Amino acid sequence: MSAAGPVSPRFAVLRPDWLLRGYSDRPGVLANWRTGEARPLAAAGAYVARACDGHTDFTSPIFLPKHQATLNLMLAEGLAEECAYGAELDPRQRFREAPNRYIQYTQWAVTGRCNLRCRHCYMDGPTGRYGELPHDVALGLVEQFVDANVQRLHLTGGEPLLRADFWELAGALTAQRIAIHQISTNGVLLDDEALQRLRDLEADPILHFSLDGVGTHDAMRGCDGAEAAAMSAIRRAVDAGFKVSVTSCLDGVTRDGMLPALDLLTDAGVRSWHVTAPQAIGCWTTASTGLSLDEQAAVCEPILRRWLALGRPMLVTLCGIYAGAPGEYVPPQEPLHRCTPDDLHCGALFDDTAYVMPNGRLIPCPRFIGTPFETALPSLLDVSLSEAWANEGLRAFLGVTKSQVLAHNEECAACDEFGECGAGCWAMAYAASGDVFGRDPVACDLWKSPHRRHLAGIAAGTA
Amino acid sequence: MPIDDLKAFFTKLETDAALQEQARALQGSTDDERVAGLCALAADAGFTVTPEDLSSAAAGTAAAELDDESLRAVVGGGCEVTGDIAPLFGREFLGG
Repeated sequence: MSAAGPVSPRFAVLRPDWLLRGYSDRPGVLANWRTGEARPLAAAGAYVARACDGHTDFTSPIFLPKHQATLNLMLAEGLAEECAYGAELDPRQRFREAPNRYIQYTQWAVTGRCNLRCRHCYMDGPTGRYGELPHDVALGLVEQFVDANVQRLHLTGGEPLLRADFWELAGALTAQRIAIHQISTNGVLLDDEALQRLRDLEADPILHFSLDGVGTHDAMRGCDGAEAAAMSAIRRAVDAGFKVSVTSCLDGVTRDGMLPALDLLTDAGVRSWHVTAPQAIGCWTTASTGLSLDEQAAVCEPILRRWLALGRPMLVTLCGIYAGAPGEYVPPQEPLHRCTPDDLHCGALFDDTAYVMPNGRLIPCPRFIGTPFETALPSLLDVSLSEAWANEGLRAFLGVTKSQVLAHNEECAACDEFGECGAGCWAMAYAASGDVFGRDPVACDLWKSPHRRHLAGIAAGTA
Repeated sequence: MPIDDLKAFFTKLETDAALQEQARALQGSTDDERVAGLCALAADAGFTVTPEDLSSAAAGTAAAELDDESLRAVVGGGCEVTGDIAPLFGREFLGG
């Protein structure tokens, strides 16, 4: 090596937004604490990232050409930057290994209370059924998220801004460099001061609002003035530079307000709009205004046509019948992955995603709120998140494969749509029949209906 | 095969934090001393690695043998999360 002549030392540091984390099943993940972006690393990548500390010379023989190439890629992609010797890395950026498996994303319902009275609330918000944890206990959960290397959080509720200590909790998270990736809110309390406080935290969350149609929102939300407050908050959040997403619940009451909502949200500049039918959990189990899939499709088709006429202004999802990206039309490609019996039934999504209820209970998905599974799974008041994440019951839950579902469900096993439908969602199956391995009637109707193909044809200009 | 030992040593180095600390401590000396020190570290760890092996690896002539992983595999398969709008619950959003 000395024959090659003297080589100038080369040092690098991670860029300030990037943290290096490790887990029992992953050698390293580079996580952006502002955006929530994750870059999983192989062993060689983690080795290089750990050396981006301002003190390790990359010209040392301890690095091979592949390591140099990896460093160059990290530099090119803005994960790291070259520096002079001795540049300091924020201690919070340094490699920190958690004893648990990878947890990328945690949804934390910080309160079960709400200032609206939504007819479809999946958490029984109007009754405050799940309450909220005391301040010191909630701060303890933040420490659990830190210890487990939770990378990003979605703060939800209830109405999260209703918590008196919301900003203290948010500040504790960002101080620990956990990304607040998303906040779901009804917008009533999201005034200009709140938006500024978010900016002051250096967080860049997606703000996710509910707007159940124009002229129909208040009826769904059970409070006069909720629609005006939501629209005002949406506009101010967009104007303040936040990424804004909106969900609209479609039923017999809100159906006439959906098409006008598209124009309003387009004008406001929202990034994505999701029209969805409420699910048969929580308050909605006793509702009588739900629409059939055919009725939902009849609402979605004119929305789709209007969205196309407006030039595809935002990302839209329409009741699972259609999903389209903003901008130029790109013909849909064959699915990258067709479901197989060996797949996890919930998919990879829930293998690294957790949901923490307002009472501290850890469940895989909010669709299981109110089911017997809710109490069968661990509470973070009893065990740490790192321990709970290894809980046998939770692992068994997350480890169920589609083959196990098919073994219980002859109809799905014989269905031609299985490759795309994947036997649906077990929470939906449970809500329908009390059997998680049963038939998911929502997915079944959706995938067997002609509506998906029909709306896709409209978008492609062939129908 | 020396190349097997070289590959195995670097595989261990990439994942062994204590070994990494020892290896990084070599950087203050001359090139020849660093190479000699690294060979000694490898020997202590049970691998036979020569200065010639390291020269070959540094020149890239042994790179293909050392590791066939693509950069994609080294740095991961791209963004799992774009930082932009992402669905909450798989296929659809919940109301609320």
